[in-house]
Amino acid sequence: MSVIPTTAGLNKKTLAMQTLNKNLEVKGRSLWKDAFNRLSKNKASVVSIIILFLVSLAVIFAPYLSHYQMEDTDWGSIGLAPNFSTLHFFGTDDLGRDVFARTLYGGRMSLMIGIISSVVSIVIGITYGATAGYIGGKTDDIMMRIVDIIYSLPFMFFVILLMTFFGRNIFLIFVAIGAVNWLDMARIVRGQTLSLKSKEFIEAAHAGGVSSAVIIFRHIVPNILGIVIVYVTLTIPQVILTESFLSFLGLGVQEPATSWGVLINDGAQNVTVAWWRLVFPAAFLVVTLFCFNFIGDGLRDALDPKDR
Amino acid sequence: MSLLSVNNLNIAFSTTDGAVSAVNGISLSLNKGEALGIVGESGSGKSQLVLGILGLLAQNGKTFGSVKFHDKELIGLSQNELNKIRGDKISMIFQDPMTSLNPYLRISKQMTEVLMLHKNLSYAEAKKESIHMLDMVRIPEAKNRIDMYPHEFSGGMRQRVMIAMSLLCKPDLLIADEPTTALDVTVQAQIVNLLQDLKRDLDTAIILITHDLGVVAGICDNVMVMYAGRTMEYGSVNNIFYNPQHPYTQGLLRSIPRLTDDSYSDLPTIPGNPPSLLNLPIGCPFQERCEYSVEKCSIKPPPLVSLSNNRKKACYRESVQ
Amino acid sequence: MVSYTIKRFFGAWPTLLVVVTLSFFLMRLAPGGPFSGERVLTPAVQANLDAKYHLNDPVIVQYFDYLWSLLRGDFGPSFKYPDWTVNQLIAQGFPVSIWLGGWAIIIAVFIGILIGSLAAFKQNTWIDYLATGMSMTGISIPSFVTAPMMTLLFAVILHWLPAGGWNDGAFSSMVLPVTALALPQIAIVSRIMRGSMIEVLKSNYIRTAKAKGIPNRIIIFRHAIRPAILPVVSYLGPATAGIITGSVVIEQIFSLPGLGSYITKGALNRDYTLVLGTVILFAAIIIAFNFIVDVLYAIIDPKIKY
Repeated sequence: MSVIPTTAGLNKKTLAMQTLNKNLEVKGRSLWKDAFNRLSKNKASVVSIIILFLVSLAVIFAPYLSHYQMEDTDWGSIGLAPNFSTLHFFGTDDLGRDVFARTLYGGRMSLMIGIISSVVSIVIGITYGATAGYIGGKTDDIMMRIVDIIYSLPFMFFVILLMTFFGRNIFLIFVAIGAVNWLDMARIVRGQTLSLKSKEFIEAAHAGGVSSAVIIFRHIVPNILGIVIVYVTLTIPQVILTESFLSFLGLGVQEPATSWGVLINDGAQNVTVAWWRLVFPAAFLVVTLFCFNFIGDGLRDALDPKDR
Repeated sequence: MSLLSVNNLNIAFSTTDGAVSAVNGISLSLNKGEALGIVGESGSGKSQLVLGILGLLAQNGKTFGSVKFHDKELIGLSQNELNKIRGDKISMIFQDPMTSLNPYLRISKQMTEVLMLHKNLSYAEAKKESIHMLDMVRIPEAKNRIDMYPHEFSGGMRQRVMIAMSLLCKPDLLIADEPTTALDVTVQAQIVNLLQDLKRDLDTAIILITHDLGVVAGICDNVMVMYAGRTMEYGSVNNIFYNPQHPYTQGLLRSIPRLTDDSYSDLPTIPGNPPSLLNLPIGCPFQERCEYSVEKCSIKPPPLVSLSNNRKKACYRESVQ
Repeated sequence: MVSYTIKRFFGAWPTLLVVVTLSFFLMRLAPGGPFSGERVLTPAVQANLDAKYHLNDPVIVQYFDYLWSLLRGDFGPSFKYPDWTVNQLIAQGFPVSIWLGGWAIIIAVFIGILIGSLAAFKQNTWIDYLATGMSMTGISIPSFVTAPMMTLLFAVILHWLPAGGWNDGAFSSMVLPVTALALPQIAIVSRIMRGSMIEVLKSNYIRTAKAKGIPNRIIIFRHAIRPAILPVVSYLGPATAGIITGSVVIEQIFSLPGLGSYITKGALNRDYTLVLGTVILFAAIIIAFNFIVDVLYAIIDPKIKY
């Protein structure tokens, strides 16, 4: 084999790679811009983003918005219906606590659990999925088989088991919810990684002696960012739902802390005498879930227009 | 009287990005037993043209103009009335035999339903007739194979099943949309032979859509060259192949590889891409890729004018020999 | 077909074994014994309890003991109701849960398929938008919100239906719980069905059928329903899991004496064997359903290799 054709071939390949990378960059930038344009045309998503922003602000600035604090008991007004004269906008519960304040503080807890647990599950999912997809072969088989098995288990009951055996505390809720929500993410990321792995720029990086970890985190992870963003917006409402479900059963957030699930449980038990204790926290929860779902759907359509 | 006559047919799709006109003022006519080839690059509107004739366009598609079959106007007919013609008088073969048969139904079911519907045969009669037809397209052991599912057949076999299915009612017109594109070369030749036999033995008129000019030469009497939804050139196979007049046709013919050519030069291609149907250029759609384009080309599209020998072309350039 | 079914049947057991093993060792990993929440017991009483529940044996022996008793269909004694075995408790709650969940899943599948197909046939019309909107609502609103809301409306305000109670499965007592349980599943099934039906209607073989002159009605029932329904069939497993999970809250809200209420009580009382037994039973039901779904899928889809 002569030297000259090899270098020529190499040069050609490098050149092709450079143009390819350039194309990718250009394509990448316009992809995000296009996606943003499409998203901003989607009314449901835009409205959802605004509402969610307002809910988040309300929840963060709860102490300044409400005249009463979460644990203030107003002995003069127990089980009061919503009214503006006493500044109990959403009424009070049977201990005279302000439902408006409790709804906002409950939202703090629900949103916080939602976001933190989602991040936990997404980090686990990406690492697991990207590793399985990138290494491939037997390792991939075994890793995905494990996911399949865990997948076929009834999640919620495992969380209930955990709560039963280890007692109920917030840290455990994070762990439990995060631990059951990473499976979808792992599958998606693995699929994406497999298809990306055969792309030229990954092969080129590999040939250039870049280490596997670097390839995974510098090349593969950014390329699956779109799908990850969509997935995060769809995971957060799921996690909030799980937390509310557990709290509703009395297995989640414990008094004196509160969350939307706890409040809805209180409300459901007293629905015959005090409808406001159910309706307001339920409305906040449902609106939040709606917003996340609309944003997730909007983002998916925006990033993947062929689906339309 | 011609079997099929299409007059000034236009097909437009309404999309989120605006209206797309896929077919622009196509006219053609076809006699009994005649075969017409329609050639052109992908996206030239060939498939949409025949789907429009049969009323099979996607929901957002709309057809304007006239399509007369046996002197009966097809445009504007209800789906019920069209259903009496489709599969009976006019039948169609599609490009992809792998996905064009229903994977969840046995071949017997898919074939017999045509005869039971159009010819009011009983299931037993219909099945007998179907087996006969499978024999005719040379499916081995048709009697046993008819009760299989499509995935148990190879690609070439499936296309033969498609052809057999389309011929069950002895149609007057068979429309074949790229019947050989998805198949191996040897299988392609078998399918071409099969279509030749049909034309000869059953006197079926054929519209053959393809971008394989060799297949056209093997089967067709006349050729229509389409580009961006318009007719560029029309004429007999001999005239078009040996004396192409339109620069686009010339380009297409130049890009066929020839075994006799022993030079190692690159195969000539037509530079550039077909224009976007969303905003066609004013004037001739081919102007940007045409080596002979002049100022006039970008002002007004050249009309389709008749030449001698019953041929037509849409180009301002003087005829060349 | 038979060998496929047998293969699938045996393939289902390892998953169940994983569930049992995982659950059992989770329980043993738990800090404190099962009686740690109680008032302080004398060592003698503690020893008696330990002996009764074999808590003195090595864990591995306890595990195989438990496996063996499970194989004989014995879930052991309840930790918190000394006069009851877990089997007796389950036997009490099981019929209620089956009745509730069975109806919910039947209703969810039928109505979901109906709504989803309708939306697909009438794609981009008001029917489609209404169906899609309703399904979005159904997916977004959890059953522990819809259930008390419906109670508020139909029981408290309108007085049409009772707010709760079993009443031996009387129709009026079942309407609200079954509806609340089925709603989210109706939403999901209709969404899946709409998507797959649209996909199928766009497919090449439906175009072929149209080109053959087959009327729409026959195209839908002969050519489209079967492939379109496959994704719904494979969702039946998760749907069962969803309904069982949902029944836990629904039974609490409507005070129904089903298995779900036992699992909640058991979890709050830390009744280990009761929770363990119920979870294993639920897992077994879900795994069994997945097995049935696999077989069903193979019957519908001729491409599945046996």
